[in-house]
Amino acid sequence: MSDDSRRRAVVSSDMLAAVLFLAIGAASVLLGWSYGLGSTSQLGAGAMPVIVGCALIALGAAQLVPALGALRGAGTSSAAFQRGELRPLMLILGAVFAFALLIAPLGLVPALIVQIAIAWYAQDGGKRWEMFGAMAAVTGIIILIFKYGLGLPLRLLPAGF
Amino acid sequence: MEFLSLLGLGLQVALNPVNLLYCLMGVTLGTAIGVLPGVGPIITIALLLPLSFGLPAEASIILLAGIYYGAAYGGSTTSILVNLPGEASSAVTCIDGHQMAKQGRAGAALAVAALGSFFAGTVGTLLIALAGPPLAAIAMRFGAAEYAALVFAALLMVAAMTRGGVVKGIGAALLGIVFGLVGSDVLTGTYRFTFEVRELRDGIDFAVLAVGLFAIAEIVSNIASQDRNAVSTSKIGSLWPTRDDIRRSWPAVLRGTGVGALLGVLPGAGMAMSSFSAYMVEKGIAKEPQRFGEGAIEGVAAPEAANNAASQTGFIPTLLLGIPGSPVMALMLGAFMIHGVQPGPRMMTEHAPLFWGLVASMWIGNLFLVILNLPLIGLWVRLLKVPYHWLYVFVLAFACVGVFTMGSSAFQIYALVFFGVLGYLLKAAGLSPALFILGFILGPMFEENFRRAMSISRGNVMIFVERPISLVFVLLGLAVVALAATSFVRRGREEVTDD
Repeated sequence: MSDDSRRRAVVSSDMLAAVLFLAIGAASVLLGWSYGLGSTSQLGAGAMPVIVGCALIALGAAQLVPALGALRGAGTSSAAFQRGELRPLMLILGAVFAFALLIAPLGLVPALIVQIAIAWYAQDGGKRWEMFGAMAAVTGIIILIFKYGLGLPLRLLPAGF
Repeated sequence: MEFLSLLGLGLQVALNPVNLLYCLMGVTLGTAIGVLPGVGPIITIALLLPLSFGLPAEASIILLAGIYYGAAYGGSTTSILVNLPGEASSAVTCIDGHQMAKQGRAGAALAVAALGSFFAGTVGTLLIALAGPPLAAIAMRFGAAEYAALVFAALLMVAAMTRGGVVKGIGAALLGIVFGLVGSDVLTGTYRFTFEVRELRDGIDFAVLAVGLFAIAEIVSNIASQDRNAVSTSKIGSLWPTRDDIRRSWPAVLRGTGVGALLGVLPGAGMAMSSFSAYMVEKGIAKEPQRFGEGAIEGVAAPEAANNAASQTGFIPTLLLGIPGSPVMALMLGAFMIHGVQPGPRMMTEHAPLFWGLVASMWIGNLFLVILNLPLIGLWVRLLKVPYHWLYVFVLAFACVGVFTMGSSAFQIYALVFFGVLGYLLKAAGLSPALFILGFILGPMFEENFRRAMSISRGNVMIFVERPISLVFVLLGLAVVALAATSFVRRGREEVTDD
C-alpha cells in the first residue's frame, strides 16, 4: 500500500458491495459444500448454495477491480458510510433492542415508552415536551390498534400492577 | 358467459361489507402514505404483513392491494400541489403538474390526474380479468424447466433495470437468494444455514425480514437526509377542467394507459418507469413540445394514467405465474403465502373467490379513490404538516409491536435488529434492498424447479435450451443483461427508483 492509498482508505460503497459479495459468497460455498452436492441428476441440498456462492464470488471479484481502482485514485466512488447516519442508526437500533429486552418482562407500555425515549433523539427536530406527547399518543394508538382493534393478547404492564 | 359469472362471484366477495371496509381502509391508507414523503407502499405493506396473519385471506389481500394502488394515486397530489412527489412513480408529474398549480390551475390538474387514473385503473383491472384465463392456460403447460427459466429471466430483468448497475443488481438478488435458503431443504430435509438456532429451522420469517430491511433501514436514511423545509401549498382552484383540457387530455390518458399497462407486466419496469415513459411519449409526439414543462395538461394526464395502469397490470405476472415483477409485488406474494395460497396458474381455479374478489375489489377501490381524492383533497394536504419525528417514532413502535405479536417472542425483534443492520449495509453498499427481497422470494422457487428439471433431464443442463419456451426465457434474461451491461438502458435507469 502506498501512502496515497492509505490516505484514501475510506470504505467506498463499491468496496463494501464487493466485500459483502465475497464474504457471503464464500460462506455460502463453504457451508453449502458440507450439505452435500448430490449428483447432476439428483442435486443435493448443497448444490444451490454452492452455485449461488460461486456467482457471488465472481461478482465480488468483478466489483473489486473498479473499487480498488477508485482507491488508487482512478475513477470515483462514493463513500459507503455517511457521518450523519451513525447517530440515527445507533439510536434506532438501540430503541428496537430496548423494546426486545423489555417487552417480555415488563409488558407493552414500559417497552414502548423506553423505545420512544431512545428513538426520539435520533433526530434533532423534536423538543422534549413534545416527546411526552408522542409517547402518550403513540402508545395509545398502538394499544387501540393491537389490543382492542385486533384483539391480540398483549400484556400492557408488568405483573403486579 | 363464464367470464361474467366469475366477475359476479368476484363482486360478491368484494361487496361483502367486511371486505368493502378493508378495501376502503386500504385505499385510504394508500392515499395517506402516497401523500407522505418518506413512507411508501413498501414500508406500509411490510408493516402490515405481521397483522395479516390474523385476518381472513381475502380481507388482508384486498387491504394490501388497496394500499399499493392507492399510493400511486396519492403520490400525484403532492407532486402537483407542493412539487414534492410522495412516491417515485409520481416524480414526473411534478414537472407539468406543479407548473399548472403555479398558474392557479391545480384543481384541473388534480381532477385530470384522478379521472385519468380511474380510467387507467379500470382498464388495468379489466386486463387482469381478460388476460387471466388464457395466460393461466398457457402457464399450466409450464414444466419445471420453464419455471426455472422464467424466474431466471425475471430476476435478471429486474436487476438490469435497477439503478446502480447490473453487477450490483444481480449481486443484491443473489444475496437475497442465499438468505432465502435458510431453513430446512424442501427435498432432503437438511437444515441449511440454521447455525443450530431452532427458530431458523422454518426459514427466515418473511415479514420480519421485510420490516427490518425496509422500515428500520429506511428510517435511518430518512433521518440522516432530512432537508425538508416547511412546505407551502398552492391554491387548488376550480376542480373543473376546461373544455380544452379535456380535449387535450383524453388521448393522453389513452396512450398513458397503454404504455403503463404494457410496462406494468414486464418485470422490473414498474410504476416509476411507466410514468416516465408515458411522459416521454407525450412529449415526443406533441405538436408543440415546448409546452411541456410549462404546465401542459398532457404531462399530468399521461403519466398518472400510466402509473395506475401499471400498478394494476403488475398483478398479472404475480397472480397468474407466481412471479412478482417488483418488490411490492414480492411483498404481495409473501402475503398470499402467509395465507397458504400459492399464486400461479392454478390459483384462478383453486382460489377462485380470492382471485376474482381481488380483481373486483380493485375496481371498487379505484372508484373509492376518485371519491377520496377529489373532494377531500384539502385533508390530505394537511398530512404534510406532520413532522417526520412523530412519524418515524410511530412507524418504529408499530414495526416492533407487529413483529412481536407474530410469535410473542423477543427472538423476532432481535432478528429485526439484525435485518435493520443488514438493510443499512445494503443501502450503504448501493445494493437495492428491493432486489434482495425479490431474490429471497424467488430463490426457493428457482431452486425447487431447477433441481426438479435437472432430475427430469437426468442431469442434462441442456434441458433449459432444448425446450422452446424455456429457451426464450433464458435468451430474454441474457439479452436484457447484455443490453444493460453495454449501458444501453442506462439513461432510463437513472430515472427509475424502486416502487
